[in-house]
Amino acid sequence: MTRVAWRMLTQHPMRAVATFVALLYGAAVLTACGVLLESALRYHGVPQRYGASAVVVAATDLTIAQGSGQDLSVDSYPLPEGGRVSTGLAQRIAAVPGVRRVVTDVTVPMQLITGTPAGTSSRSASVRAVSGHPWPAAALTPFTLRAGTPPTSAGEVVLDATLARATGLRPGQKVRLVVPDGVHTFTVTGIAHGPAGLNDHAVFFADAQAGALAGRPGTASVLGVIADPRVRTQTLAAAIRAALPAHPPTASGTFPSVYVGADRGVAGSPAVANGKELIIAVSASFGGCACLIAILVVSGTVGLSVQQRHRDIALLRAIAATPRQTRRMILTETLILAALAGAAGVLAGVAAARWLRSQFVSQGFVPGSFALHVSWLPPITAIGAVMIGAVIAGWIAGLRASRIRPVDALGEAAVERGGRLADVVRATLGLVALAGGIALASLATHLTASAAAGTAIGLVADLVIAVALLAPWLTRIAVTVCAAGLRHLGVPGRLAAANLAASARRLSPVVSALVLAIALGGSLWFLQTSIQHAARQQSRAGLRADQVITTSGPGLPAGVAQAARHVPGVASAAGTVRSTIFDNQGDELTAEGVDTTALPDTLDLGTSSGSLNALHGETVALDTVTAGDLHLRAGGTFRGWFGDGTPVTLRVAAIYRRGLGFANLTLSAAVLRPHTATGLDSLVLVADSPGSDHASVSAALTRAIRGRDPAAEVATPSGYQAAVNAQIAQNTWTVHISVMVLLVYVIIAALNTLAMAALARRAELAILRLAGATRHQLLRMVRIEQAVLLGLALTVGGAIAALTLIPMVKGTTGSATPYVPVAGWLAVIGGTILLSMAGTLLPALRVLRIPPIEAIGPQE
Amino acid sequence: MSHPLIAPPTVPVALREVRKLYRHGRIAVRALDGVSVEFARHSFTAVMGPSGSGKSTLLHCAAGLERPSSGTVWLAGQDLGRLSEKQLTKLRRSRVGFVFQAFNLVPALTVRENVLLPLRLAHARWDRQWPDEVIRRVGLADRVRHRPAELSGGQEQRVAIARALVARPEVIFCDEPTGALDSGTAADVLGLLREAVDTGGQTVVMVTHDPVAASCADRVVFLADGAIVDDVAAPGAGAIAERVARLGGRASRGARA
Repeated sequence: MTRVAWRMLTQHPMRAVATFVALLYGAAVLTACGVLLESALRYHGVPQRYGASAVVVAATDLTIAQGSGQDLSVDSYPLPEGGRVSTGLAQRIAAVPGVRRVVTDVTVPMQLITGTPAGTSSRSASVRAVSGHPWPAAALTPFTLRAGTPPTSAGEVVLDATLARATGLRPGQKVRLVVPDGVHTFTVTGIAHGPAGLNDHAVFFADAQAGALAGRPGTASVLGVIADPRVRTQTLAAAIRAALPAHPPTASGTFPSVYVGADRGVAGSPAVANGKELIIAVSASFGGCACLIAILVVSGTVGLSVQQRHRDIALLRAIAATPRQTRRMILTETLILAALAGAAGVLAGVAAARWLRSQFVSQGFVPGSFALHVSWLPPITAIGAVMIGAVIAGWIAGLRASRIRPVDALGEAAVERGGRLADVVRATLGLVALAGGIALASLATHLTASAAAGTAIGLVADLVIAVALLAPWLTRIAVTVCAAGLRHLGVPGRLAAANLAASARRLSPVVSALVLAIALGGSLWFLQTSIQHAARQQSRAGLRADQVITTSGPGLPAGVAQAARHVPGVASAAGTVRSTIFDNQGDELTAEGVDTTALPDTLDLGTSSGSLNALHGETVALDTVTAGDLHLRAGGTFRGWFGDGTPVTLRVAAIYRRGLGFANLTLSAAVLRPHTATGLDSLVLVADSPGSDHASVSAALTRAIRGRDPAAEVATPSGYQAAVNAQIAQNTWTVHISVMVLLVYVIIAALNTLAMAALARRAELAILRLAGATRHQLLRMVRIEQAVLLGLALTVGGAIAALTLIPMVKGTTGSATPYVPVAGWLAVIGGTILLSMAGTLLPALRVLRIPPIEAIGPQE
Repeated sequence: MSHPLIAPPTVPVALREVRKLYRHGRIAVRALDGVSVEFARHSFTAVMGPSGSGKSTLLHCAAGLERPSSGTVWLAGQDLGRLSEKQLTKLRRSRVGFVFQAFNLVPALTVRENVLLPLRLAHARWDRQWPDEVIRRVGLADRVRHRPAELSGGQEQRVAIARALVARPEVIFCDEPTGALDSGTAADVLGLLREAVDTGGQTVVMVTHDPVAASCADRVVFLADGAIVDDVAAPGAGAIAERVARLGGRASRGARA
């Protein structure tokens, strides 16, 4: 049977193209996801930073325990601002046998100014990101001093050798650094060399000064342990773990942990932990989803190819092949295709993984140290999954093939079988699915935002299945509706109407494929555009400031807002901090810390209850969506954790509407700032005095702040808005890519269905030609049929998309009107038209080129 | 004449009170209306009748390609009504040969592979020379490696006959085997079938509407409106043609009445 299968494949390779492409694409997506997943699991940042310390102690995750006893579930979330450990632990750790020394390390992100030293308004100054550490922490890597002396007092620094080489600085020279409280000049007292390949860009300060710069006395980012080399690392780690204060399993909070080996790279580097988590989540969930869809699409393509070879298979059944042998032939064929497509797909997948990695790094989702690790595991898994999917699809199609009656080999009528009972069952199931979908949609409007979004995919799936089942009747309804119009289109119109009504059941895969493409693409894509649109609108409406000061560095030091306040013509200048806060379920919420005294002049958040005047001290304002999710009102209490793991309790002072444009939570900057990694402002909002000239105030501002932060820029509200829009677009990048990948699948399935349906009409078109119809008339007929089907698909698909979008959009933005940009309309309609043309008109043209007398014959 | 059988018949093919009803929605078509017939061993029988007489349906039921609505079909000593689809297929491929009017061959396979297909699928052993011998007998020894697309209509039919012969079946069923051929090629094909009966010891049942083809047979069975109306031994082509015309006239007279 294998030989027969192989021969049938190689004789007509074009028949297998759709299945091959679907399998190849599936293998590529799975391989890419697998490679990314494995690379993320193996990613540990740069552990060489702590090369000399066998064990480090840090707190990088927030642990949230819910329930108790049997229902206890414990989850950990990486802290976006990096956690801190108490320096008091150092004593306990030092007491553990085998520990020689415990060194505290803090990491302070700062900038080094290169270029002309003086001249505050000089534009040729540029900044380079560096990280500041206390000099004693140099022993943890180790960095050894090769030239000069270590820093002993404030104002002295030691540079790491790669940094010194890059900037050309030598001991004795002066260097300007942007530190949390402004720009200061330091003297380089020495150069230290670290291990080869470590491009840390470290700047070492005297111990006391580093502590002052880091703020939060009594805490450190990492406690490094320098141990007796004779002690086994695992034993030491266990002993140190035991020495740390214990916490009950039901407690939530930030607890210090012990890191050894490669894990040391995660400690002290929140970007690593967060990037890792993001890539793992995205690749695992997307890989699973893609797998399922691949099986569905391949079943469809294989099934259609069996249908196309109906007569050949009937012949085999008549003369020799048992049903089981027929099934096995189809299965063998599909497996051969899977093996070939799998091999090719794996290569494509690795290339795709490389591209995705570079995108993730350039978009800032993960640090540049994230490297791809391509082992044999993801390719083997992808090929295995593709083979299993092919087996399932081939088996289902084989069942169909084995049921082909041998008598059909004699070329007898291809009657549309399917009795009354089948029709009734089909209609009933379809109506049930439709009713269920509508009920679900109306229910979803009453759910909280996240719950509503979760039901979206299920809703689309249910409605598309309903349409697939009810397609014959929908087609007939469409024909009835268009009947009058079709009659006016002459003979082609009448023929089209008759064909559509008679072949309604046969056309249902075509209708379903088009509806799926429109419904899925429409709902997922336009959800994103709606959210983006709402965010842009809210941001524009809420910004009252006349100027916005931003920076390309990690943040703006406190001095910038201060300096701005003293510029003539400025009424108020408010420093704004952006960070993340966890709620008590572990969900991350965006948080914005504002200067509450300058609030009404600079920001209007659209308060719906409570008052923002009450926002000082330990109070918080929530946006309506978050307040709904957490069931909180003005006067209630918010409990959660800051981005660095510190627990926080805040009283809710107000609820506002413009959450998408700004943040989920708004609180006092003074309360939020100490809990960020940098302690710097993200923006400064400046409101001018009434009657002042904005342009001259901007110029004065620029001059005033350059001295505090050379990387700072003064932007107009519209200029700032443009940057915000770009940021919003970037945030949804992963969703866009996922939707496009899914759409490609849908397009493969749709194209295949349409083409097969068109080619199957070969004999019918030939008969019409022999009866006297010209090619032109027949093409017109096909086009009219396509137009009716397209109209039907757009109407039904659009209705499904709308039905799904409305609850989702209401849940996330608060308004029930989805935003569909004109470009979006055109893309959906244009795309569907292109799809149906490619799938139907092109094959029809090809079929019409064959002389009709030949076309009437066997379907070879 | 209808009497139930007590023991399975010794003839290769026997039908008893076979009825076949086709339903299309509310319309029911009686293709076969109580047909009882036996085909003797080593005989060449032609089944004739006007269109709609049910001759193709008779063939399908006799060959196990369709199940009758009622009645019994005996093939190679087995009651087909008791067999599953799988058993039917196994019976067909080892005991029955087929020659259809067209689309006989799998286009992807060569002549030799097409001929060997039933044996391969049955996982049977065969004598190495036998398939080539059969191909030689039908006169296509020089086309063994060609594909159907490279053969003429007559050559395709000859390959089909070779395939029908290779499993040394009990009976060979032919459905209009010469329908698409010119008279010369048709004569060759009929000659092969005749030879299979005379020297090969096969049994052949051929459905045809061509009186010339039917005249090669030992016996001609005439069908009209799903029932057997005549059963003649070794008639000449002229007598056959006259009989068919009479049947056709009866049918059209019936329609007018």
